[in-house]
Amino acid sequence: MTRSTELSQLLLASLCDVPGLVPARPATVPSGLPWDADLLAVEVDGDLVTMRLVARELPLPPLLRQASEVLGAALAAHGYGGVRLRLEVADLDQAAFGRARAGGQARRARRARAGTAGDGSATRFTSAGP
Amino acid sequence: MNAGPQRSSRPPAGVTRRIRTVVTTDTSPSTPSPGRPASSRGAAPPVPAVPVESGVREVVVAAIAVHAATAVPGVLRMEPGLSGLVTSVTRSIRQRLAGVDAAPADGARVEIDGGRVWLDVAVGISGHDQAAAVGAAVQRAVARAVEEATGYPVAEVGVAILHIDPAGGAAGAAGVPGEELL
Amino acid sequence: MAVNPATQEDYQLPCGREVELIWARLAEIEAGQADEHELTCPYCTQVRAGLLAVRDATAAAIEDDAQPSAGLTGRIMSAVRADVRRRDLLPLASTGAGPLRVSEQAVAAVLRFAADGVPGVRARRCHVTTTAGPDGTVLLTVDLGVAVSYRAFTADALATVRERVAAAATARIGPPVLRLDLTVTDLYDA
Repeated sequence: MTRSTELSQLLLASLCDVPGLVPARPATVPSGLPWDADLLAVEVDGDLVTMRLVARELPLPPLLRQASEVLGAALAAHGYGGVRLRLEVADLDQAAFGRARAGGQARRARRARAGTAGDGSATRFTSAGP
Repeated sequence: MNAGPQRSSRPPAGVTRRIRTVVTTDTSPSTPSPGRPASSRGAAPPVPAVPVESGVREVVVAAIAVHAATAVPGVLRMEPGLSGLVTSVTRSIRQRLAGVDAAPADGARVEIDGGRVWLDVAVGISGHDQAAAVGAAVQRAVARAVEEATGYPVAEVGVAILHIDPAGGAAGAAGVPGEELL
Repeated sequence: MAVNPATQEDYQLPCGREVELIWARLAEIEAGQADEHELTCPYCTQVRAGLLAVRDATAAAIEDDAQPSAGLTGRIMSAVRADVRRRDLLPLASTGAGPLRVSEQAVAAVLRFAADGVPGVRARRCHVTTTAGPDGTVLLTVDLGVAVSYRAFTADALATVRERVAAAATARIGPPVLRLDLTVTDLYDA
């Protein structure tokens, strides 16, 4: 296993301790990859390691602080102390906004997100309440 | 079709293209655990902190803006142009393949420069409330949401109201179904 | 109130061509059967390039076995309309938070709707411009053409149109009307 794969796997494993962030896939991912596509979320360039993430929670500053602590500690503990780590929030999951919005506002917002279905049939959410 | 928001304030020189990532903040963990005095005999030397910096891509800020704008009373929907639609289609394909439910970012253009955020949003409104009032409410809501969610100061929120329901939302909060299908 | 055909120009480009026609003719144009206007008109060319990009993006979606979004054609039409409307924006107010603007076509639709509400009157053309008022406020200048019914038209109708348009401007848009040029352009039988 190469250093960069090892490093990537370490980061991905440590990221599991930060539930608000998941690894991001790059723009072009060929289908049918023989290995874990999540590895593509980590890019190693010498001593600079860039990790692309999708946020599933807001706000971002505390989330990024938590990720920095967890990942930084993991790297240091496994002998990667010389590495510089860069975290990039590349996209945002709808889950970050939660479902706890009542009434007309939520219905309108869901319709706006669905685009054109006036009856909300294109929505992927279930109603959380009345 | 230009990619960035229409700014009224002049951008700093040298900004000629969309900037993919934003401010890099040093989120390095601070000094090692304070509970461990370095002078204790037998204590392990503190583990040196790995420098960590972080950034946020424009599409994330755009999604936050869209969420805030569409929640403003009187706003029916975002009004993206064709270039925004193309970006949206390709992004949603990629994210669906990765199991991510991408938060919509259509209709918001974002540019980040010098640690500050410029936004431009295009909306359609129900016409029940005064357009100028709804537009101003969108500006406030988007600025507040972006600053709270990202920590970045917002320099400007431009709003373009591209559609007003001529009937003034007479059908109520549900909007006019025919209009929504357009 | 009958559908007013004067308000249905949303999908027409400034050159007079319909967007839906361009969409329908994408394949033929690619096969080399474009007419001269389609080849040279900057509006048609730009819209066609945008539609091709969207079509290719959706083709990629279909190849990847992912479902294209419901109502994509509707979203395409809305997106083209949004691009067209972005060319004619009017300042709405100064808020200090950033530029706040409104589509001239959207304002015109609201004001025509107000005029249409007067019995015996149908709005035809409507063109709106703005001027700067005192203290950074915005004022509207409206040029409105109407058709009147020769049966149902009353002497008060035009005065009522003026009132309704002025009220709609402040209540539904924001800026007051500085001047309204009202022209009867046509008669209709109803």
